[in-house]
Amino acid sequence: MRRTSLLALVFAFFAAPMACRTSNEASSAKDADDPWAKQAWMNKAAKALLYGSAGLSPSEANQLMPLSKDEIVEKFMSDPRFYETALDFNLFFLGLKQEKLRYSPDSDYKSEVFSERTAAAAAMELARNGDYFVLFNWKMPYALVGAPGTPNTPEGQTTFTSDEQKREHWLAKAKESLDAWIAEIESSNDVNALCARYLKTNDEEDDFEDYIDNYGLPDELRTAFSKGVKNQIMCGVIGGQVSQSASIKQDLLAEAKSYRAGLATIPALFDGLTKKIKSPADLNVIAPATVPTLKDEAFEAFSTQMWVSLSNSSTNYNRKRGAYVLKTFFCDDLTPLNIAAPVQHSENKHASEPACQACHYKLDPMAGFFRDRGIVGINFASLPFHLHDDQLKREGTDLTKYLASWKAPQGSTRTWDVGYVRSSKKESLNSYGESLNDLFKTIRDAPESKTCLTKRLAEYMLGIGQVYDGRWVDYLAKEFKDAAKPTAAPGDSSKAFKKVVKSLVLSRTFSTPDPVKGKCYDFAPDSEPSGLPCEVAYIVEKNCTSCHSGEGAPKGLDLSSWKTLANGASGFVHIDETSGQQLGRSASLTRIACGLSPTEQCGPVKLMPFNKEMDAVERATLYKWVQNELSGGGQ
Amino acid sequence: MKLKSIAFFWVSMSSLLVASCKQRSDDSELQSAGRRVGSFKGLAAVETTIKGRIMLPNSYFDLAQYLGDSSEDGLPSLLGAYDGRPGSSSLQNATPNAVNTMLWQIVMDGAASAIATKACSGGNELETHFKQAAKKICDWPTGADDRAQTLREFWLDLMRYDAPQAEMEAWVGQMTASGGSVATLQGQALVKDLTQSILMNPFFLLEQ
Repeated sequence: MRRTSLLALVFAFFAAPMACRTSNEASSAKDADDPWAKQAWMNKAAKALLYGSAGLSPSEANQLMPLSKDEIVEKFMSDPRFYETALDFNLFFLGLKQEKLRYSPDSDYKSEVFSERTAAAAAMELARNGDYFVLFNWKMPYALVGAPGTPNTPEGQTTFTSDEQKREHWLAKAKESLDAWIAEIESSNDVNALCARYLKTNDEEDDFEDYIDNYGLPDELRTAFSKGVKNQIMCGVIGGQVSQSASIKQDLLAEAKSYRAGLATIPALFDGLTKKIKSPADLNVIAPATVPTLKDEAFEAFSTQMWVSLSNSSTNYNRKRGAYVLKTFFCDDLTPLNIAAPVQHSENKHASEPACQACHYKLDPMAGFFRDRGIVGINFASLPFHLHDDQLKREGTDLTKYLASWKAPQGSTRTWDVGYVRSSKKESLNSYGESLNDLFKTIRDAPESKTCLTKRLAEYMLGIGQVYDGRWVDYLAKEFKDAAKPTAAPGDSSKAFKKVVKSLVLSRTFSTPDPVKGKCYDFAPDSEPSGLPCEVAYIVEKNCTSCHSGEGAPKGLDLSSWKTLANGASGFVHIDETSGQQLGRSASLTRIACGLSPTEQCGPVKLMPFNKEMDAVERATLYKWVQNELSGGGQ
Repeated sequence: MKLKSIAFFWVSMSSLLVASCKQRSDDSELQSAGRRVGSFKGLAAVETTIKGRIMLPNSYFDLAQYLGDSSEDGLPSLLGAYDGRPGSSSLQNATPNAVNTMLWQIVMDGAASAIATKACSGGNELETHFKQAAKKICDWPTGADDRAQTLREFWLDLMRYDAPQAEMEAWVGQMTASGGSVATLQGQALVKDLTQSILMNPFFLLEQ
């Protein structure tokens, strides 16, 4: 085996043209000395880039040995499995990672993969060099559909010999059932009876939904013919009381007629579907206009499962949903820090406590984007009441009071105090809006979401818990930030994704077998390690050292200098103003923590950086690092 | 008897547990000493890895079955699993502890037994190269193959390049040493022992 590897290496040396030698030439020279190192890297790269790969066998590895690392990454990224890796990452990014994408190697993707529309759509766009940033969309311009199934054989029916015959049978039955239902609605004024029939038919006897189930449509199209959640609510499926809304009959009729018209489109639709989905590139894209029942479908990013999981109780005022957005798209885990927050949101004692404001100043305005979304995410904006997931119904003054939680103060130029809040003091830094479309436009435009995307991609490729130099992450994130500029072409985001992935796989962190979690291996071009702890060096340099540097730094704290102190521990140069002596490590770090989050125990301390804004995630990262150092984690 | 093999196995087991008990700085010491520290890869990932390396496509292979009837009581999730709840993309129960390490031992004992049975009976579900390497070992002490080389091939089929070369050579040395598994076991029992020692190796079971 080793002889084969050596032969491959000799071949590589003579056969590889000079033009192929890339920036990783230095590491290639090292690989020539240590073929195992390159085989190990290739094995790891295969597992990272090719979804479901178990790594490379010796013969597979030997075949690739003549190629440069750059060429190997390109080769892997042109494999259809790479787009499944992207799909898996997208689900990871959205906090929805699944154990497996498919039920079995030969089956279609799991329904959970489709239900979170943006993850699948972004992977498909990537495979087609389209707009990867649909990952940040609230509404999708199309429906994504998997492979169709085979039709069921009608019970007792033995004369059908082809799938076509079976499908024709089920379509005819569905039409018959819907015609009867439409006639029933038109001839009755008993709303209670109609609702009872609407809600019960599925349990007691076959109806059009069952017939469509038997047809073999993919799940995503089948659900377009399922009973509408809104009509089920109006008919009282929750709470058992039929609403007094006069429009119920008309709503039921409109829905039934829409389905009836939609049935006519099914055969052509079915024939146009890709029957075998081998990768996200093969997904079926359906324009909503081609299916009458899809016309009114919102195609929103959140699935029903998502809405159920991020439930809105009558007391949490959508904060669970707001926290999800902050954590997922901005990497803000809402570390509680004591920073001044003068604005009070939401009628809720907890939120108005000064200590709690530390999170709520940004959480409540974020939650406000979801104010109209009640139980399972239903939009109650046009309805005279609001139903929470805990089934508390608000109407009249109660509803007005609930919505007033997010009303902007009098004299404000905006109607709602709803937005992505970066600063509690400087409103001009914040991105305000009203609707979920506004929120997701902010996410698409905000640089913070691109940095977050890069961090998550690094976690996915290099391992959770690995620390990175912040300047390097910023350097990589620039690819995404540039691709989000108004002048960028839609395909630029796909190029950026591939470029960042490639940089990560070619990084020193990736190439190092079992990298030490607390050590940074990669740095931005033209930048050297500063000597400060690498996890926070960039944050400190960006926010602190313009003042806290060198002799005579304010409060004796020189944050540009990390040294071994007298007792052998490491710490910043920090001279106590009273004694003129270097502070002990613990005392120094405690004072730094107080500057970042001045609690009552700190006494009269100013929030740092003084009179300057600091990114909330950077502040939290630095604060958590200080706390970890204080608890002995870094020593 | 097979004392060296058992010792090798317990070194692997104890390094999994040490990884879970020590602080971050201690982890760094272990890592710089060439040991892998970290979390389990999770049941689904390990199952996919084994299937992808030594089984033919579409063969049936289910690691959870080796937990017996308990596999239906949620026990497999203790071996590291994603819970699928929105907002949570982290592997649950993946930090090594006494309980999940014992469960992995039970699972891998069953898996190694099944693999050895298939290997020594010429099972059709096994990937050709692995089947050939395993078959040579099943036939020992007959056969004129280079034993150390056959063991390396067997290791690479299962481990690929997940572990350093030094780890492979140490394993070959342990197994072929006087009083080691190769000297004390034969046929199916030997293949099971070799397989289990690889499957329980931290470089196989733990995330990098």
